[in-house]
Amino acid sequence: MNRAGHLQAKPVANQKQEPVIVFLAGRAQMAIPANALHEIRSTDSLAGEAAMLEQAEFPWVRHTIERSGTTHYVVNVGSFFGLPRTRPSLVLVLRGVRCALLVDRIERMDALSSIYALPRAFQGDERRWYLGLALFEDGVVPMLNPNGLLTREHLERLDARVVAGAVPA
Amino acid sequence: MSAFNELPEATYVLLRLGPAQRDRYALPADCVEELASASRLEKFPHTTPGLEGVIVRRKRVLAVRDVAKLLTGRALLVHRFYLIVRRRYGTSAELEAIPVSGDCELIGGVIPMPRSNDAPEYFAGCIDLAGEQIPLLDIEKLAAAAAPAAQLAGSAA
Repeated sequence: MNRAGHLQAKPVANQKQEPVIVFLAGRAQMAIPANALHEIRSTDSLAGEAAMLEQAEFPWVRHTIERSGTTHYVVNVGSFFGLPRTRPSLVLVLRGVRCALLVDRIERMDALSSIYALPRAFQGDERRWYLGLALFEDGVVPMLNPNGLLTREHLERLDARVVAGAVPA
Repeated sequence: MSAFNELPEATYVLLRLGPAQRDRYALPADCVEELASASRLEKFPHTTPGLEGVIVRRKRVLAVRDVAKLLTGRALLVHRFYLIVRRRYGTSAELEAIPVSGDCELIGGVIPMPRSNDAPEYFAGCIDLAGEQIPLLDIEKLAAAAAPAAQLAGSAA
């Protein structure tokens, strides 16, 4: 039955090794390209800077932080993906997008020369959430798309909440 | 009813999705790549119903699709093997893994019978094996049908 030399070996070619950050959120391992990060802060150190955002539409966004005059929305990654509840301790502020990730902890920094495309059988929101799948010795880890968690629509609706919250009653 | 000449070629892989005799199904052999031993199932959040996760096979990442719940009404508790099948996506194809509970068998020289009108679309017909009617699966229609039948594996944002 085996037909050799057939079909999909699908790593996205990239000979240069790129650093990635592997982190834990809701006890699940995920990764993100290191160059997508602007800063890594502990939740304690952000306590004075983060503002509460009262809204129920996106329960995985509870806080905002300001960077260069722009509001960044802090996405609880475990809650976003419906993972078991944990106590996140780090905030990964992303570069170039108005999003920060609330995660449990950093597992390690690693280097990858390729990531695997998500198999085409996956046809849901995960195609937006992930850049692909990273293959490490200890398993497969989804590589988060920095632009994938908050869509333009999410941002518009969150912005509207912020504006509404800023208007005195 | 399908015409006989629409049915797949007459070599089939017999697969098992549970302990009972009725849990046997057949797939045309030309859509089966290989039978692989159980590999580590890797799970991550997603919203595509019917998919359990992925396995790594020969440095390829393959989606794992559970069809047992749709076909037998029960989830497959023991994955002894993965049947690696070929799915079509437009003009190209991609491999996918289907968990099966036991050995698979390659059989030939059997006469396929067309699908009855009341059978689900994902049955292409059936084959007669020593008097037993074994449903013959259409992998593309089965994959399409397995999706709505399965529970969401992740939470939609």
